[in-house]
Amino acid sequence: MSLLDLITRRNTASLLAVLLALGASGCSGLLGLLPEPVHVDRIRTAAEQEYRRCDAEPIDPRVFGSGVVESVTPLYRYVQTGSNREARLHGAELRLHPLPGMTAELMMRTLSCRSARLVLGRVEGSPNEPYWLPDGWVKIDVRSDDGSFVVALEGEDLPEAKDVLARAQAFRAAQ
Amino acid sequence: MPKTSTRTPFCGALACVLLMTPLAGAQEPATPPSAPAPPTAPVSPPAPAQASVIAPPASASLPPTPVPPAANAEAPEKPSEPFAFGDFSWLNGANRQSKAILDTPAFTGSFLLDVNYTASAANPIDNTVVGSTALSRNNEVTLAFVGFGGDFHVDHARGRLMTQFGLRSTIVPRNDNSANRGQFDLSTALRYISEVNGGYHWDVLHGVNLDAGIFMSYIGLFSYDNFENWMYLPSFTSDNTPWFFNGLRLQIFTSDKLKIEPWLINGWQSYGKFNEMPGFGAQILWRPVEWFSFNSNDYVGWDTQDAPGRMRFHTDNSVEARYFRAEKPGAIFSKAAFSLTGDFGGESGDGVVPWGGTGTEYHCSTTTPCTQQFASWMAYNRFWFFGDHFAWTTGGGMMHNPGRYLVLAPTGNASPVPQPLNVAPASQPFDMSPGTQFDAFDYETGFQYMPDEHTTWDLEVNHRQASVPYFAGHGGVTSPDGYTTTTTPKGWAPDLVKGDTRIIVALLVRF
Repeated sequence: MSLLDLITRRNTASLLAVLLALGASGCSGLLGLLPEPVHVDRIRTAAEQEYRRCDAEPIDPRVFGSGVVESVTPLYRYVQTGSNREARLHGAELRLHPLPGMTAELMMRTLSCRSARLVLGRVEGSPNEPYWLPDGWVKIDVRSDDGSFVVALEGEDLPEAKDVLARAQAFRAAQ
Repeated sequence: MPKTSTRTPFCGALACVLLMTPLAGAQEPATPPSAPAPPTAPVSPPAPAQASVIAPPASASLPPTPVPPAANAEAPEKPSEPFAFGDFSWLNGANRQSKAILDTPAFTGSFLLDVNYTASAANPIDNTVVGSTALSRNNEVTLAFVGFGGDFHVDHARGRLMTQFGLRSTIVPRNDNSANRGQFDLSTALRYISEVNGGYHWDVLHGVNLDAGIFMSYIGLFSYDNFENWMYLPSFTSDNTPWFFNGLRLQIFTSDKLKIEPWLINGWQSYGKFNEMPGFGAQILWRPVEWFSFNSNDYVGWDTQDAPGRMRFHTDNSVEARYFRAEKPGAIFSKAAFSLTGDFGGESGDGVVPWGGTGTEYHCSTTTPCTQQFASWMAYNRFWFFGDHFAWTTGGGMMHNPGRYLVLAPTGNASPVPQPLNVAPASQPFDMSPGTQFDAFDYETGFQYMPDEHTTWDLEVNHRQASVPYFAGHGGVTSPDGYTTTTTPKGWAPDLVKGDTRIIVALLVRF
């Protein structure tokens, strides 16, 4: 007997039973297909990042200071939703003063290393330093723009994005 | 910190909503929240990472050049982006995605795919679904919609193009009789475009946009893009109200919580105009907090062929509330929300009145007008599970439409849609005259599996019931054997029935 037969015969009880069974088996079967948790294992990721990004040379601590922060703006990504293109808050965008000898790639390595070490507790950050979160993970991207560095700091979800932005603004205000 | 707008309301009719905006701002901090306390002590580190050290680049250690001091002058703060202060991915009729795959400073791309399979208890011999704009073919895998395009945005100029292929390029334009007015075949010219508009953006308030072209309507809450909806087959309140408008819209974001959007359009989901007057309308979208959304759409137009004095009005109002959200990401029971929508409208003039009519079918006149109104509601509840990867939605609604002016016309030999002179009319058209009656209800439940931000698998069961024979019965609406190539003998009639029960399976992909 097919599902269609059940519907055709209007056997409501049988139909409900089949639907419940389908739903239950579907749910249990699909559980195996559930993707990995969205949130990263921050300690493991930090350890991997430290291994890949950090080197033995000391870094001038002014790179991490608030003094180089020129401005802080919200970091938005855009999606089409309904009849509009809507912004989604993802974190903060910091514009940093150009630094002698520093390239975007090197800045990316430096900040990523810093972030990993802050998460792992190997160094102590200044208050509200936005390159890490005490209980989250900050994705860092750096590009050059008109001689400055633009650092995109992205949280994993909206609460983290708000945290990152608030910390970055407080960090900038502490100058 | 972005400011909540406290500008003076500029329109008396909207004053209460505008005045509530600053209050709404007080309920929840605008983006971003106030600065947090200094971070807590770092977590205990694990064993040190492997000692292998990358060779330092030559410039790893900075020369002792002084770092330039930070600029003291604060740059003017840009107003916060509308509705970005909260996570509205739970809303019915909104995109749950957090970012587009292809997003550049000049272009944000989109690709949509919608494939469905539906099986009706009646199993009509012509595999045809009657009374839906989401479903078209029965017992067949159907490419309902595939479209690609995106948004162009350069400086203040903006544009959107979304193509439309698949069955929806037929089943939606067929409901628009305005294309029969005059020449140049509007339906053919425009059926493969679901949205195309261009306009200009002003950095005023939290943004003001003026767009012209074809744009989506949100009368009836559900989105035209099924990827954004809680259910695949919406209730009558959504299915029987417009999916698009052709004209102008002005979007005014008075704050990051409120949009006011007046329209000047050709008509009620029409490519052209039925009469001389255009249609007027507006949308008010208010999201004061992350867990609540209010949407009102209001319309006035003249949308009846050969009845220039017949005015249509319609109000559509929806509230949506998320009443539960788990604190822990990935929780087994992660979210719960409901939506409630109520519509009321009517037509007045040229032999009909919105209420209190004394006429009967075929005897509607200005002295004995017939009642022509639309009253409906729909309600849905949705539970999300396993970190929002599963969802279970249940809902339904009712509609009351004397005069049947918003009933979706049956197709085939039951079609009352006027045909060009070179096309044979239907042999037994469904009666949609003033003075007729139509009442219907539906209920449905369904599961959605959303393995990622781009994919939705949908399984649902739906039952619809009408007060008159309306849905496709086993005999179908085409011909004795179900084919359009078979002549219908004298006396043959489409098989319309009062009830329709079906299962729906759909795959929805969006990039």
